[in-house]
Amino acid sequence: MEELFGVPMSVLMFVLLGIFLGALLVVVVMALRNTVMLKLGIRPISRRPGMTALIIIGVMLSTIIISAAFGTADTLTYSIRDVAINGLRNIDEIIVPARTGEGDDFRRSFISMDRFEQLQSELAGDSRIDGLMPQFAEAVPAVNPDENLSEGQMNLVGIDPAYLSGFGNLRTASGDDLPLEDMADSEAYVNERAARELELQAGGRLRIFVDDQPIDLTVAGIAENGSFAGIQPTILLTLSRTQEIFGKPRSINSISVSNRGGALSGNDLSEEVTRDLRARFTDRQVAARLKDTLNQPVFLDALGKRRDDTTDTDLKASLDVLFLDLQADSLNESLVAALADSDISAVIVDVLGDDMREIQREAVTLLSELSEFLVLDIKFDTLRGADQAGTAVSTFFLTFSIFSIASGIMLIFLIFVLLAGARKSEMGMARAIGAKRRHLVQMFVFEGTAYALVSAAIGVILGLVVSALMVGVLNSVFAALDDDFTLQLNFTAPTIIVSYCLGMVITFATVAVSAYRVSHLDIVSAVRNLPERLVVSVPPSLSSRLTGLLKGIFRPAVFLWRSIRHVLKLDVGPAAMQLVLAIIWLTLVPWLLDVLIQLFRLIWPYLLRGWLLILIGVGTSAATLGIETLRGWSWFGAGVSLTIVGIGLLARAVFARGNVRADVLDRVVFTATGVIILVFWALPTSVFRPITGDLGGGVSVMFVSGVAMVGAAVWTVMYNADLVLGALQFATGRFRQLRPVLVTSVAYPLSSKFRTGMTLAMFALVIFTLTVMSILTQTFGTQFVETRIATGGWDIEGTVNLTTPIDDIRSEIDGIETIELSQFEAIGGYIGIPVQIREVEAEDQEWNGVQFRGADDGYLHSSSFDLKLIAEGFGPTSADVFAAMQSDPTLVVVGGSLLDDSQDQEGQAVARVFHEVSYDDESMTPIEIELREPRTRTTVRLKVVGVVDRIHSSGSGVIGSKAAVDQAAPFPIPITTYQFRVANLDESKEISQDIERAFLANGMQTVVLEEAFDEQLAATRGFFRLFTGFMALGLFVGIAALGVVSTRAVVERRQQIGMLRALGYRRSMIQLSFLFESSFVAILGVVIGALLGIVLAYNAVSDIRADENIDTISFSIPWIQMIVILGLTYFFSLLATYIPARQASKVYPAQALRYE
Amino acid sequence: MTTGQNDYIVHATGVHKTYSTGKVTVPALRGIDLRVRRGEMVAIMGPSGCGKTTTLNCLSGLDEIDSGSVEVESQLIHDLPDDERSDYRARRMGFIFQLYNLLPVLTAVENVEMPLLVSGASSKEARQRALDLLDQVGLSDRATHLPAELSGGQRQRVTIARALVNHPAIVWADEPTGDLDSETAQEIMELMIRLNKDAGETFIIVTHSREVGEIANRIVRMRDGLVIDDGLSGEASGPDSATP
Repeated sequence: MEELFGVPMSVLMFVLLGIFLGALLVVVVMALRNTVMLKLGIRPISRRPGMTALIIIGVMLSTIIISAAFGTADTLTYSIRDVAINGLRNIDEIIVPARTGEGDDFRRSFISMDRFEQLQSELAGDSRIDGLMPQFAEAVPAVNPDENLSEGQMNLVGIDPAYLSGFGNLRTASGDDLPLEDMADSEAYVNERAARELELQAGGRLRIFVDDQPIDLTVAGIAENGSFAGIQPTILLTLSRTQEIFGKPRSINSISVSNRGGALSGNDLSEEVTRDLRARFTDRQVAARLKDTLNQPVFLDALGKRRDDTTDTDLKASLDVLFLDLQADSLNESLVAALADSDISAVIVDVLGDDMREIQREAVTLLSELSEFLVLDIKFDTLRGADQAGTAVSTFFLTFSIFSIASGIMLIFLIFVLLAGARKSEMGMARAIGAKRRHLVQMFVFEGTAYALVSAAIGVILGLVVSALMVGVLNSVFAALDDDFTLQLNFTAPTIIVSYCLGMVITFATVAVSAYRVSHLDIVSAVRNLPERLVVSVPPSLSSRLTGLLKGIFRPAVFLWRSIRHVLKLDVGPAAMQLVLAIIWLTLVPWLLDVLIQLFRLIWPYLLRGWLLILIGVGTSAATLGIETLRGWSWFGAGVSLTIVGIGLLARAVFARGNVRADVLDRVVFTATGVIILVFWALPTSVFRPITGDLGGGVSVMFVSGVAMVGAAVWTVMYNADLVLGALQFATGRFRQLRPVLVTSVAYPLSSKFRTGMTLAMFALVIFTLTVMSILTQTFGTQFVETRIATGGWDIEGTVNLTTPIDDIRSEIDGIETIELSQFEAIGGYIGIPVQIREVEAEDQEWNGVQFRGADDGYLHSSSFDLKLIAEGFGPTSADVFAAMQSDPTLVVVGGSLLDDSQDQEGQAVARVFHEVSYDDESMTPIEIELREPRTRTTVRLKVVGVVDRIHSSGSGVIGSKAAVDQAAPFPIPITTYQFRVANLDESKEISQDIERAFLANGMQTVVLEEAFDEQLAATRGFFRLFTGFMALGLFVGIAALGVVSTRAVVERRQQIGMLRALGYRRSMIQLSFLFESSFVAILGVVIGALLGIVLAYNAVSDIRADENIDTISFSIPWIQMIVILGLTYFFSLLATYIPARQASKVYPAQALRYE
Repeated sequence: MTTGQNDYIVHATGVHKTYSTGKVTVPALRGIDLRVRRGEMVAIMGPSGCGKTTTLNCLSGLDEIDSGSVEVESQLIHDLPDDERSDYRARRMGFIFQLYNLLPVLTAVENVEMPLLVSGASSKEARQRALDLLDQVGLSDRATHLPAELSGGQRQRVTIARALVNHPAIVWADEPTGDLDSETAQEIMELMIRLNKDAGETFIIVTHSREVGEIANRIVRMRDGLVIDDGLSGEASGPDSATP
């Protein structure tokens, strides 16, 4: 894992370590200087072991969540890196042909051995490269005739053992050297994976098919996976034998490059070697022409703008060099390398916008001719991908557990507020006899630090245990997907350090804030142990607040100045302390926080009056609507919510001048504010669309709406607590025995608004996210439509090897005994080709990469795709359009996703391809497009005459006649994918297996589409459930909070418990009272969270249904799962309260009454 | 005055109670014998630490005893299971403490009605009775106030109202005026006398206050865990003394 939220882990580690050690140093210095407060602070830890244990559990929950997220990410990164390093070993880059040449065929281009040998001599002096391997690789069908097992797409790799130097020797599975050079022509090595899948052993028989011809081989031995033997099922032959089999003497199709160094260290040279190789393969003349083409003010202006706009520092630097090199007098090597870099060339094409069509056309043509070879930095890319995957996973987990972490922080805050409550009179006495506020802060900081040090350590360990459990679940998901990828548990030191420091720093900061709050207690009420009352001070004057801000800005300088002054007085301790503080502040994070806090203090009085909040809210919403980059429902909603709160505060300030009672005014204003915010967020976004337009959503909506809705609901409930109590009393009127218990069990939590509100919010937030996730899992983890509808009417899909296509599948089936044509209602075939398209008439002339489905007549005739839009003159039915496509190969239909902005699988925004028509339109006219085959750059003109309904998940990309691409490619293009509609669906599985067996020689691999869909959905549900489970960790926070609150309540209310017992409360009534109290908070939190979650999920599903135009997406609540989640939450909440409740009931009344 | 055994609402014999804090053992009561007649107002007095509050706790069943016996209304209170003893307290006893011990989260009227609710009275009945009692103690206008919003004297009146709301046979009061100024203490004492006379309820009051002692029918004096004068016979009562 390399980054977290864009910050490199190494930087994060050092910053956090700096803050942690700095903070620890400050605490140690403080402790040494004030041992009395240290003793007072840490004394309770050993005195109340039960309470200490509970506090440590509560404090460590945030750390567990953080550590579990990091641990899982580490494991994923390590596992992918392991695959890359052990799979590729010393292979660092792969060189493949970039252009087509004589003797090439569809998708295959060759390099002559002469060119390879020339290249080898050219690179012989390059000390960074220690090996070049000529390679011929192809996929072939393979069979173990003895076991009747087959593999349709087995890799066959031919290498020349003479060039193995630099790549390390190949080894057999048992670890011996693999004597490839001694192998006979009739022999082949297979790797461990191939041996496992086909149950092959040394000496066994292996049959492969090339151009429909069987070739029998004997297994010479089992090669260890990795390097040229690969990690997928692979057959290893000598290069000469492979060339002979494929009839391509002295031809290869790739060159592997080994950088100097081992499997991992070689990667360090990868960027440099790749750049130089790309420059070497660049045609200087073409590059010079490209330089001339691009060296024009209009392009340079656009390029400069792009350079200034980009946030990627590496790209910015590269574009800066490109910008200068293009304007240089002559072509230099750095420009050649830049032009040969695919990332840079992509930016160039992208920058060439609407007003540069001519330049764009020429540049694109020149770029296609620029290089002889493509250099793929395969290891570098894979390792980078591994790091990115790790980063993505940790970011994803942390993002989704943000409420759990927030709840954990609230719990820490709550714990320390309760601890302060426990020692209120002690602290009041300390203050009365002269202790300063900072002494109280110190006392709590000492105690908090002790808890944080221990709980962060335990939290990290338990987090890694949770991570191991999650890895187990993920591995079972991979296993269900039939994927060979297995996660290997691995945690790195930076991750453990960052987890610990982050947990520690969060705890420490929360303790410091709560200690500060506690230190402001009222001495009299503290001494007399009266109800909580903090000192209500008049806000400091404007000048004082401004001074505070200035001090905040110059704080490090102030610390340094103080340190110098102490040094001059030879006061070493304080000098060191001030110096340490200066260093901590200079790590920027505390400094920034300090300035922000001072800024907040400055504006706080105006925020309280409401008008500034209204300005900020309205400004935020307006900016969201007006500025394209800020568009998003979350920001808009946040702005509106702030405005509503601002209006409430303003109304309160205005009416407060009248004769309205303060408590009545507060209740009316805050209830109205809460309810309006709730209603605003509960309404579907479509209600506001006439005003706001489509603002887009995303996962952030869940967080912002969660905070806003839960906050508003808790606020409303707490301000109307007495009504809840009244309603409960009314409702329980008949149950006379329960009534006194209910009265106290509701009255107590409602009287402590702060702690009850916090606990409620913790429960509600976590339950809210769990509800949303559960409903979305249920909704999107089930199929919206029948498989046959989704697939356009097909039941089985079969793919054959590119090198062993089937000429005429119908006549072949006719000749096979095991299958009858009558078993099929329809058979169709196509080939999927990545192509580039653009609208002829559009202003934007950028090429867009899409998948083209070049279909045969059978497919076009029998596919039952409904068309959402049919171009004028080609209807009225979808069948009419497909019939027209059979007779006119220039006609195509496109998938709905090409008509709108969307996201790719990695969540990156994909711009819409078609601008003339939208998916929601009622009609369309035919759209002229150009389609380009990317390798040959041959272009054909086509006409889009329909848009496939999104209900067909298989109807994406461009669908047309194969004849359309036949003319774009200089080679015959085979059909590689077949679709079958069976007469009897129940026989799908058997027929699928029969087809596979019958076309073994063609490498046919079939899949029953229904099963494939089910597997995919099961995997989706598996992942969703894992995330839901991870988020459920937050529930422990809520449950622990109840445990802590209850334990504290037993202590706090000991005398009252005694009194109740004196009044005749039975033991069971005391116990019940506590359990009811927890139930009240847990049930209220659970109900608030669940209801709000259902509302948000309903809106989300409705929005997606409307946006995607798929009526079959149905909102459904997974009742059983919800009941289990809510039930378990409630059960464990009761369990957490049971022990303190039992303790309370055991108290003797006389003892309790004596207790102070 | 000769009195039959059944005339005593409280009859304690040889009550011993020892507190142990692990390392230290403190004998709090060393064989208490005490009889209280129905409708009597008895003040238990003595120096700090002599065992007055412990006597009250043990005799009322709030605390366990080590040996001896305590009969309240002819029932051996410590032989009752905890639940039955609780029910008995709810129905037949009232308590007044120095620190009021009101539930801070409930209003005055809710505090007063609590014993009735515990005894199973209906909400309406409990509320009406609580308001009546508050009226009797002069706090009808403070019924909906929380304890924190009342003065010390007002809180003690609420406590007295709560102690009497269920028509108890016996009211136990532990330093009921200890936390009050003399004027308020006087008011509270007068209130207790009036209620004692009007309702005929038995009051057993633990107090330091000479004034409180003076208004009682009888003063029981204690020292070192022993009753040295029960105000009845003028004889010392101790572990070796005969049971009356």
